[in-house]
Amino acid sequence: MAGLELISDQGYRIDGRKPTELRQIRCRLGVFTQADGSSYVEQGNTKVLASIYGPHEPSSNMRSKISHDKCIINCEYSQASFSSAERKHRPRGDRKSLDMAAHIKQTFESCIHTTLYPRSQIDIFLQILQSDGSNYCACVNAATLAIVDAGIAMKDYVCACSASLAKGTTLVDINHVEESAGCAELSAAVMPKLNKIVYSELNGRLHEDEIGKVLDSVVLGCNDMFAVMERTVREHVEETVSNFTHS
Amino acid sequence: MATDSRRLAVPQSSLDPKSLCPAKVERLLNDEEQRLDGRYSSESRGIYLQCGTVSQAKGSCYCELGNTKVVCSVYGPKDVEHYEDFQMEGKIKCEFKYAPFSCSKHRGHIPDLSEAEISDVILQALTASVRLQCYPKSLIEVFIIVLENDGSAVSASITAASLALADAGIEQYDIVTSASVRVYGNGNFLEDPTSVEEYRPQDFDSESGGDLNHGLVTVALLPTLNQVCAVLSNGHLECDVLVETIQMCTSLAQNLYTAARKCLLSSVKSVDQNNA
Amino acid sequence: MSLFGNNLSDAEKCFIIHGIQDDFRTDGRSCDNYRTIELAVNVLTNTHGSSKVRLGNTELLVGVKVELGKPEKATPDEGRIEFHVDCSPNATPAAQRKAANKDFVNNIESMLVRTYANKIAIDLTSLCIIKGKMCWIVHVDVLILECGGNILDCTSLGVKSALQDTGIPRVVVKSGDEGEEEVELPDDPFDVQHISVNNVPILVTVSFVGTRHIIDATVEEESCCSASVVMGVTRRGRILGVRKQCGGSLNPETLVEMLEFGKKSGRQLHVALDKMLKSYEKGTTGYL
Repeated sequence: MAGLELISDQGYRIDGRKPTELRQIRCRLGVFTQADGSSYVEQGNTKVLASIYGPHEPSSNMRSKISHDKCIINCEYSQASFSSAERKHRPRGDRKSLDMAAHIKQTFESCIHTTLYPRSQIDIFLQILQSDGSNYCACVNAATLAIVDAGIAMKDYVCACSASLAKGTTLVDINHVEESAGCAELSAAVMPKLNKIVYSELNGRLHEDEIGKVLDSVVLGCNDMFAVMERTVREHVEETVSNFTHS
Repeated sequence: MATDSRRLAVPQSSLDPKSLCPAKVERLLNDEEQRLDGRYSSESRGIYLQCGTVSQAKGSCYCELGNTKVVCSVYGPKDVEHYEDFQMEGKIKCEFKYAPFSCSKHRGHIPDLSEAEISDVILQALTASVRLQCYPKSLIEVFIIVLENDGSAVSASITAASLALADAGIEQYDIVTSASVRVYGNGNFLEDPTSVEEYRPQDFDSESGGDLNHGLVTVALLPTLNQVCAVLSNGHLECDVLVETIQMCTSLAQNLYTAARKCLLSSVKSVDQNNA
Repeated sequence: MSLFGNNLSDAEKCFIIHGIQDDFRTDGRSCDNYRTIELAVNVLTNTHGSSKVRLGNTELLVGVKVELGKPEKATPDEGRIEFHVDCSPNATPAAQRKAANKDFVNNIESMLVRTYANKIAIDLTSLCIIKGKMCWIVHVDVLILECGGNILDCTSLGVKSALQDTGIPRVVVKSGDEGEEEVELPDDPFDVQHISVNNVPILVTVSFVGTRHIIDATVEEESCCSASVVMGVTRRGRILGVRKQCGGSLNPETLVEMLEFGKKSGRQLHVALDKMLKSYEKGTTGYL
């Protein structure tokens, strides 16, 4: 893209944000009545719906993987045909979706207290309604909120954020244009209170001197994300409790 | 891609030569009220039905309606394919397929969306008739292949399927018979349409002022009980025209009952003679 | 559709059937009432037209994208409209197999194709750009988020709203080098033309439960119904496609009554939907 500067001389990005600024985040819990837990997260123009079913008895095709001391986590990721600028013909089952589902499954296997739910299955379903970069991060955030809504025990919140490096400055929470500009992109999922990194992924090349800087900004972004998510959960609980007491 | 030595080097995409000819817009009814094949609008083609044509199947039926040829074979009752929870009622699985060479345009080997829809419609018709409570935990498979499609393939298939089920000894409340009627303009009802007469949206440009009714209606009926068990229609019809057409199809399907009974009786007699 | 059918006991089914006989359904509606319909258009930014519909517990998103393509050989002066239905994993409880899901989706797709495959619903000649060479292909993608019964009606409402909202870029055909025609897209993204949706059908599902017919059945009522008829009704009352579902049989007189009832309900739905779309103030509200 000739002439497209990721960061202008005044220090603003393409969409007018500062380099360490996250996009506008809107989240809601309890979107669906049928699922055990559900949530909707909007990070800028990326919109994700997550729903959790479980813990329940393993379905017939998972019976072979039953474990006596922990639960199996099954994750499915699908992107709506109209989610990206180019129409996507196959919503799920293609390479990228399966990859993404596997990464999210890995992330949550280390965060959910699987030993509390032996011989069961927890399903995580993610649906991308609109994709504008940082799909993995939005999915992880949505899944965390949905798991909280379902009442499944987790060691800590899991917040994810992405960052990139342009002209020596780290850009946090990158969108689709910045993703396709060809710079390195580092995504990480972090447990903020325990201060542990659960999952990290780097696309592209990054010099070893700079990787520390980028990782630090990702962790800072995750902490900001955590503040928003925790506030959402508290508000939701307050609302639910007030409905009980007033009825 | 590595070349496959077993296959001929042919172009990847091919064209049907008929598509290069200019489309002929034909009138289905000439001035003497005769159709393209010489019939009048309230004349059906002769039907030929015979049971027991496929020796390997439990029950089978071959139906000819003019040039339309349909074969139906029934397998079962047998065990359900996937282990499922205990069911008090049996299950019917129906698969409808046009043979690749049957229609004027080549059809693939894998059933497409329209064939899946017709399979579903035929399944509804048969479910209304078969006494599934006599076959718990069982599966009855019905396979229908259209060998040549010259119109009314769906109605021929439904009749053939029901007779095949009877031939297989599966209990039914009644034989399902079916008929189709094409609505052509205002007040013209063509019984038992051929493939040229079936409704196609791209034909009849001159008449699509939007006011005239065009459409194809297929109805499946349980004759002695007088119950409709499947309805399928497309095109654009006013409600009262649709109602009139359904009533016409119903009476046609009633008339088919004698032919269906005759076919079953003759197949039982021939089995009897073979055994004697 | 057994995909979402709760396993109701016989006593519960009896209760529902008796209630309907007295014109009093489990949620208090009468036999000819629809549940509350919530509608929003222009909710997705990556599409040319979109809508979100919520009918009781049934929720879906419809996105319309237009692409340039070649017309079919048999109809060189017409564009194309294609439907794709996808059931989001959010909507299906975990235990369902993929094959059953595919049947459910094909059911909806084939009914949409059936009612739109004629010259009345959409004027496909308006989608033609260069005869025989270039036309607009309209891709309608339906994403089912939650299924609470009556999915076909909800889908058709969503499709009509999304098509009304669709803006097709106004292209200019110029003769380029070597005498061939070239197509130029406008610079202004708001320079669009709209498809006329005056004759677009709305699907109405009339279910026969016990001894009476009802519209807008919930999942529980669908599992009690012996037979149902789906019909595509235009605003003028033309019927663009009829199909019977569920393995039960109907008296011919009952069938006729159900068709008349469906036509009346369809026309009323059109009036209500058009009024709502007209008074709707556009703005990207997002999903929330």
